[in-house]
Amino acid sequence: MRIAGKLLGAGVSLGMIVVLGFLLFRVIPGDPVVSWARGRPVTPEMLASMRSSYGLDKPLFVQFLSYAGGLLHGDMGQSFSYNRPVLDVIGERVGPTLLLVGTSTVIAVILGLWLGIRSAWRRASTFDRVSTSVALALWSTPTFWLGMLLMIATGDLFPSRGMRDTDTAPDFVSQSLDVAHHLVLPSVTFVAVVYAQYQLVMRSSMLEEMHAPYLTTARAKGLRDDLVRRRHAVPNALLPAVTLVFLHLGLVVAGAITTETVFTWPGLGLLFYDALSGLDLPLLQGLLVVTAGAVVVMNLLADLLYGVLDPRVRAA
Amino acid sequence: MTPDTAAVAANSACGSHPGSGSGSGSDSDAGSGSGSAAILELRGLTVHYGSRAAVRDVSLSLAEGQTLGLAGESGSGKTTVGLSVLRLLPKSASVSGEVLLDGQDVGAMSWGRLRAARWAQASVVFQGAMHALNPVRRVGDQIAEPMALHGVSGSVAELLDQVELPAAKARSYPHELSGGQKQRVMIAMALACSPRLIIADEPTTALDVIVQAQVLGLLRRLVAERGLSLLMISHDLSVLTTTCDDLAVMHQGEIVERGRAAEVIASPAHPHTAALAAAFPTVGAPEFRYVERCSTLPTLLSVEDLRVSFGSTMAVDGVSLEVGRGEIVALVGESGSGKTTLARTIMGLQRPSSGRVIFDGVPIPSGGKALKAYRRQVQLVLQDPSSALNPRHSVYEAVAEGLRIHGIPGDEESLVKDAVERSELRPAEVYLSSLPHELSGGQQQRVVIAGALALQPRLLIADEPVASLDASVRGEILALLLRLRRELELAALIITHDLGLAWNIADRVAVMYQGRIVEQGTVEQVLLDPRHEYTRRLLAAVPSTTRA
Repeated sequence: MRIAGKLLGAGVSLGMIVVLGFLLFRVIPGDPVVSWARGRPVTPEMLASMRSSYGLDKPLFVQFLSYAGGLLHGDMGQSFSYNRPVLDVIGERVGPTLLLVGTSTVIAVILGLWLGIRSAWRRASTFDRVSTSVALALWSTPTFWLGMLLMIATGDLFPSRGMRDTDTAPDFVSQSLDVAHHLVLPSVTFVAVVYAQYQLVMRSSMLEEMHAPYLTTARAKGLRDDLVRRRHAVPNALLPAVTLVFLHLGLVVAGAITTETVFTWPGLGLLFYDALSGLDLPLLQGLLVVTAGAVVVMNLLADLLYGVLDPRVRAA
Repeated sequence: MTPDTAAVAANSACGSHPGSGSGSGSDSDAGSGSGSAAILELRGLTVHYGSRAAVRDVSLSLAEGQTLGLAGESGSGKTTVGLSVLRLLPKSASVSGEVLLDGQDVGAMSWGRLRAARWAQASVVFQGAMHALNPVRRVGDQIAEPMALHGVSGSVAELLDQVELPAAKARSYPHELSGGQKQRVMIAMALACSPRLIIADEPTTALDVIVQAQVLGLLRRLVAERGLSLLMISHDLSVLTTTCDDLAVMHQGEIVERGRAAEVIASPAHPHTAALAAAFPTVGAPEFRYVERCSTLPTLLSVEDLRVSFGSTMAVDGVSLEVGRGEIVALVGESGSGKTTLARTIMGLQRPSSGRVIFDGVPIPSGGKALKAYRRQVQLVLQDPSSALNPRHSVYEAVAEGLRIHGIPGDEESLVKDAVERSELRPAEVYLSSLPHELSGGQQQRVVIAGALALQPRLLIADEPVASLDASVRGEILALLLRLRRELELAALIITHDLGLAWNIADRVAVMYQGRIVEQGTVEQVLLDPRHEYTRRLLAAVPSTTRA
């Protein structure tokens, strides 16, 4: 019953994203055909014929219907700039993004939660002060700037462009090592910028639980301090953090735009950036549906997981 | 100032004998204590939070098998004393004096020794209805936790059986249990390692009277059967007297009176004890009855055959009730009896399924301006003033808000001042710019009442208006309600589970049970000569200070 309601809600959100995504990129100033033709010798007749071949000369409503109809059949249209189906273009970029974002998020979540728990438990200690300040400073650092600093600081230690070198041996092991080598800088940048929010959320939700009466009960039973923390405080404090982590897992796909652009990592973020500068409408719409869809799905997962973690939600 | 006076233990001869010495070396302290059998002894215990002394020079002693009640208002330091026994106070507390548990100084114990002593030598029954149980773990695991920790064998099912709960409840989470069941779980947990001392901190607060009586009965039985020592902490003298042989009364961090419970209650020596005792009136005793007149009054509010259902549950099931002009009617019932739903329906916050509410001869409007105008005449006073007031609004803002919402004409400032003074915050100027946290609980409740009065209502609906107030303030708020009735002919419908409150100030009582009013009539009729079985059970469950 609860799950059915959540699914319905998620479906409605996705529908709204499709509509909004369609409209959003059409109110952006600029003409996709003109921006594509920039720097090429074209006649007005050629532009007009391009418009009609992409269906851009039809009324907005008709355009939307054909777009939505295509979506239902899994067809997101044809990319202007790649001249290939949008789904294919997106499909080949998903892997690298998942690799970068997935690895970094796992590291950031573990690091952030651990720091948050520790800093709350020893509130106002040196550890708390230093780790919280560092996290805040990194969080407020622009990603591209931090990325460039890291590039300069590490010199030739790590590659700073792309995902693999062309001259690497084709066997699996050397390919994996090469990708991992390329992954270091973007991943470190990404972790540095995002882990702060996990730490801060975990810290504040730990602080809320710190004075909970059941912790006094646990202490009165004779539990060691770290057991009180691990067994009683953390499971409760984790609840609000879980929502944030999952919500963020959805967002990071889009959030990787700057990191991927700085390190020319061939993922969805870089694709988004390119599509936006070329005003590739079908691709932009497709990317929006995919990334926003990820947020909705992750949010749904967070809701469901919350039910597993918190017996009170399960009952409701 | 009670520097190491003769401990309570000295003059109490309790049922069970001071038997075992439990083998732990207590000889070093035997000489100075009041007896070698003292299971707990406090010597000049003083606790400071910063510069504020929460507990000042408290000395008391508890013998094997003795039961001692520690009474006091909120902030009197009683809970601090309880927590100091197992060194559970927050780090900000600085403790001096000695706490001897089984002859060993708790303050001098190493952490390892302390952890071993916790729960095994003394355990605590916290207020389980609140959040003393971890909400995300099964209660069975929580009961078993100290057993595993201290290497004690035993079964959770057996412990649950001791507290009269089915073994299957071990698989429940705290939120799936009622308040009484949670409290039973707390007691089972406290017994898990068979300690010789149990500290019970407000074990029945927030429970309905009948459930409270059951839990107290259970606690009494277990303590007697196992020959346990009990230190019970409560603001409720009547609860303490039904459970404990001895009583110590705390006030502002000091013990102001102590002795045999029956004697302390019968002839309180300290005025503060008397004030505490007055907050738990004996139903039927004329000295606790503050109203005398009971003439028939013209009807102001009349509820006719009202029914409210939520889905298939009937929250209010055919209720008829009348409140006269200037009359105080107490609506008594346990939680879940439908009294709050009834009040919400009367205020027009909940639509009835059938039946109607007539105010001053006119059925209450269902919406629009007419409903707003009606609501101005019926004002609500809630239980907990600290949460009813917006913490960022000054007293002036809190009182003026209603005036602005209803667009009451006239000089706002003088109306606000008038209302504030009427609720006896004088001079009003002193309080107008105060924020809620700068006021005491009683003053906060006066601000809530002033907010209601500013709108010149004719009926006050008060939901447990004194339940969260300290004993000494309670009487003042009741006197205020009575004076407002006298001067403004303000009628009141008081929703409460406290029969003593009904006896204090109500003209008539309606007893609500499972959505129905099972009995109503004048206070004397209903409380002195109850007809319905449920009313009798309620009255029998009220802990009485005169019983001992």
